[in-house]
Amino acid sequence: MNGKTTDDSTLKIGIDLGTSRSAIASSDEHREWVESYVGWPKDFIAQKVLGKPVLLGEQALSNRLSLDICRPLERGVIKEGTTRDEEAVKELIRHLVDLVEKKEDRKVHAVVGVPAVSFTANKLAIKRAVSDYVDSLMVTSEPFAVAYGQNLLNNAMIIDIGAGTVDFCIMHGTIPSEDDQRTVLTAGDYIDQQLFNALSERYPNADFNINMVRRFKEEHSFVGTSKGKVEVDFPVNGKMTPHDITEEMRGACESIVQPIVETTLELVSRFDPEYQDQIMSNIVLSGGGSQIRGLADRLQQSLRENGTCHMRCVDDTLFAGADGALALARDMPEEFWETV
Amino acid sequence: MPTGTDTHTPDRLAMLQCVYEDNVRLGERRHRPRSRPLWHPRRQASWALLGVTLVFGPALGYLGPSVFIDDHETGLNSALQSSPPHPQPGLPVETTHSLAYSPFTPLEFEFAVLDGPGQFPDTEPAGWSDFDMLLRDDQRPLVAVFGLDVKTIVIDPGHGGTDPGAIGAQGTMEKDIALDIALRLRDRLRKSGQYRILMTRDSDSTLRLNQRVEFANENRADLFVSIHVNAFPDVRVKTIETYYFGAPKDTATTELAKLENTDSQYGMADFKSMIKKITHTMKHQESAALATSIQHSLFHNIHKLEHRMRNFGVKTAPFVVLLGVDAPSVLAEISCITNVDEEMKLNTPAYRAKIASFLEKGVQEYLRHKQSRTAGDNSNERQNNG
Repeated sequence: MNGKTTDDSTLKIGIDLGTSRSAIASSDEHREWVESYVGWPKDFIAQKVLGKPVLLGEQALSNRLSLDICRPLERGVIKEGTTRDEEAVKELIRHLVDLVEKKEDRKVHAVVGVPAVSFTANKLAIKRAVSDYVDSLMVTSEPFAVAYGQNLLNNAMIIDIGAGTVDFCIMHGTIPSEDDQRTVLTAGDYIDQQLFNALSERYPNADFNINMVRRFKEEHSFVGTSKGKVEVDFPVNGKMTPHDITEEMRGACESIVQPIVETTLELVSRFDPEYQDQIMSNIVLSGGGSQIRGLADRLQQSLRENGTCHMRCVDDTLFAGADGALALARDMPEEFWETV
Repeated sequence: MPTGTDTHTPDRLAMLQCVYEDNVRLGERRHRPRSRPLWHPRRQASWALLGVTLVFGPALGYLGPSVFIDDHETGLNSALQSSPPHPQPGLPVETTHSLAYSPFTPLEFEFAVLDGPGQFPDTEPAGWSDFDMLLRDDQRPLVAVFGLDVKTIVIDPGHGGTDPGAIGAQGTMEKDIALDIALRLRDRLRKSGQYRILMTRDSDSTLRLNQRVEFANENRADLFVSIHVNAFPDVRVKTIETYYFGAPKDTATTELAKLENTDSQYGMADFKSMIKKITHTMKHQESAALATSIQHSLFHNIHKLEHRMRNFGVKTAPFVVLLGVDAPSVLAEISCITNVDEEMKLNTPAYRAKIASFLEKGVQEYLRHKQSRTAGDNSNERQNNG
């Protein structure tokens, strides 16, 4: 045990199923990720043109006009428990497992990170979707997986800013209970919607969609002072035209600051007062949203108005969840895998 | 790239054990079969029926043989079917007199949909039989007369599976909130160790209304609590309301009933037979008392946390689940998913836990009051006999 794969006949994998991107890390030292989009050709002709019965990730996104496209993990969980969404998650998992597993005769043991406060029903749906491709499977809270992987097990707080949810989790030397965790929906998708609304209002004649807005955000997001004008191109009456979206971008990105500050304070204030300072001094941001320029500083500054605060970001936001899940998978005693 | 860690430290081993146990529990939940009871509390009711038949034999005889219809199916309740609760023309359809023995002061009813005082005449109307009087006795609700006990409580999380229920602006689904709160309520009620607590669904599964009703009746439910989350076109509205079966008093309630009754899978013949059950006076009395207790607990506790929360009170509505279940039944609309503030709060486990605790408080308060009513009735009886 002790973190090593017991034998070559078992592959350990950690999976982070995200709204926007899903990542996998394996005990074979493979790490892969995919955009969480799944698309099926709309008709026979589309299937013939595309040459595949199902497309995933970037490929699905770029061919979306010919596809019934699905982003199955809206808000981090299988959307409606519908067959279609479960089917899409299955395709994602199959694809991810195929990317890292080349030997067919090995057992696969997986740990999957799900949002902090995922409802039981959703955990079950995710379990159902994953179980076809692995021999033994455990699900756990995503921020807990990050904390475990980062060795932040005591007096620390993880804030995982994803596309669908922001997950908060206080670690105090034991597995976090529901009272130690929070999930709010003012996350990446919320920013996209705010930005879309603001741009629609400012440029009523311009032509853009939510996917383009998401791309603008990923390239230019910031809070506080901008490093210069944020200028992007989108069509007006069919002609590509540059537009200044600096203020709209700032406003949309800053819209998540207050909910994060309030939820952090609310969660910490419920904790033993003797340790509150230590937790506030050890806050770690993870998830794609933590990459918003200036966000960590702004959050730290706002939280310092209430006392001590030290905040940092994980080094590898894309794989922190999958790496943590893999660390759990590696450490899990073998007998647990057999009976779960 | 993670390489794993030293699991010899006790904290890590304990954490891994917890992750493992959580997953084992999740697996059990998935595969747990629905239990069918070998023991039927309603058999007690049948004995009570025999007793009451002997005591009130003359009165029942007065009503004629038609009173004993379908008694193999509904036991005690069917014995009451031929006696409508409101035989007098001009009286309202509801048996609101049941609220007279509520544990709460009239203040709690300020928002309740009632016709107000004076619905029931102070003096005995001409033509009322002894049996009518028994049904209308404010001081002696039938559950106390029969000394009936509550053994099985069925909790019904609304919607589920392919039916998401109402959906909030941020995508929160009524079915998920209802299930989560129902599971919490189940765990809380189970802790008392006094009742058998069953769930119509304990996962995200599709369940038609008739299946819910059948489940409750097959399992001889003594109380039935259906949990829903309200939705309003006006997103500013945040309310709490609790229903029991009866005629709706406003068009909004009729519309809500239409929505909640969608896909009930009942035919007209079934409906006609079920509508007779409106005359189950005891069910009506107890449903009203339970609804009042739950509404009181929910509103007064949530109002302390959220002053803008409005009390829409105890209402009557023709929801199919409330009609079809033999036991006293209520449908609680615990919040408003269309209100963004409420939706955000409903997404936090702490708020859902609080709502579950307030629901439990309402149920327990009703049960305590019911016990005291039964005990009081028995003690009066002893005094009279003595």
